[in-house]
Amino acid sequence: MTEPEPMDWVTAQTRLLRSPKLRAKFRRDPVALGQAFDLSPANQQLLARLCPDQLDAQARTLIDKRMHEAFQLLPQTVANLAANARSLFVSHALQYWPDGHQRHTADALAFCESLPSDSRNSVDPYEVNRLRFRLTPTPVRIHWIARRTKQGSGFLGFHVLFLLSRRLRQFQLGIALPE
Amino acid sequence: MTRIGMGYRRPLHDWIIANPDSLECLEITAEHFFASDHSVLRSLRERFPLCVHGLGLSLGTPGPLDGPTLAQFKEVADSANAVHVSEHVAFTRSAETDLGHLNPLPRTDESLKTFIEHARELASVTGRRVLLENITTHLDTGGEMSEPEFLNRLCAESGCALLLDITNLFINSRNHGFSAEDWLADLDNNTVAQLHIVGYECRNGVYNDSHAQPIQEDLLKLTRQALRRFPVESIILERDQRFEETTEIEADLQKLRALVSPASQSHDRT
Repeated sequence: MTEPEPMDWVTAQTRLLRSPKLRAKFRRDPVALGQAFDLSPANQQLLARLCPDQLDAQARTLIDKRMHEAFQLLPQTVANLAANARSLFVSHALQYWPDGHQRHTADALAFCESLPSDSRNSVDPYEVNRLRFRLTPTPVRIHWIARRTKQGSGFLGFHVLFLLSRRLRQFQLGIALPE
Repeated sequence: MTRIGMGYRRPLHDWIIANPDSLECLEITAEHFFASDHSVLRSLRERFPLCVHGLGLSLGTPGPLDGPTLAQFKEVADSANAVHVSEHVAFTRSAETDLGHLNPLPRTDESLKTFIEHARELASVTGRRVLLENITTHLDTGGEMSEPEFLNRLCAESGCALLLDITNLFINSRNHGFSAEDWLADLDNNTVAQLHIVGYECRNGVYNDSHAQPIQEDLLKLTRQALRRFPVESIILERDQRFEETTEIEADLQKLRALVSPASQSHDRT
């Protein structure tokens, strides 16, 4: 029977960077965590020498960079969420790690979908429709819109998105609702 | 001759086309053109020499490079008729998770072996010279050798050159308390082929690469030192935000042009 391979460094560092709980364990006992990861003896020594504060800073940076990218795609939603936007994004980001070259778009959409029910009204439906359009290659997308803003104005109709000369074009068709 | 160029970003497209004399080359981010139309690249390559820069090949991850990502990278490099391709001395994902951004690896023989294999694979698949870029990081992963020693060996053993990010070097030197000038002096001659530069930000004593600021004087000073040491083929202004500030961008390009002008270089040598 062959010995199982030790865990590679990249897997160990990635687990630490994505999990605040593992970083807390590391802070308490780095040697024990290196053993639990089953790293090679040389990598266990390297792991034990990492600075917990630097690990936290690097992990924060990863989330901050994701947030920056996602928020650029959601300016109105973020404005609606106001001071709660950051903490809500951090909660989402710790649970979900997007993959692939469209990860920022997928991240932004997943963030909107992850919002608790009392924040759902802050999501701008036009922004979400644009994200879905980017993620799903299709010539035309039509979305039903029925919304009333916090200010009281509303809209009932369709949001149409399509590509023209490789650029996203959009218009809406419907009726404005009185306050 | 050292060319002055910048990272191509879609919001800058119209400005770039309207100001072709401001730029002598462009750097394309490979992932921005994955699974998309390449006619823009074919049009740009008629006007500028293009190089292709990757963000997500994750050269530091053990195991084979991700096949579909590598194939798309090659397609972009081919469409751009890239002068060279580049990636980072970093990993972005493990077998389990895509962290999405650049992370450092310990400077060990084990890491070196992975980077060398992947850099060679990238060169072989794209049929192009590979440049490798130093990253900025809050985490010092340590290792058996210094960063310049690691990069010297990586370049020598992989046949790649270094894409020296002046801003990343400066930020790391401030955040981790070492001399950027000594770091540069420890690199082997002829290692560096290209420079990246953009202004940094400093908040509460921590330096960051927001890619949004005009180039500061301390970065220009380091750039002068690099230009004296290395046969730099091009300098890329790496701006990712505040694209509307085209006057600021033009001023940065002008600063870089002044650095590589024959008058400046002869003055520096005296």
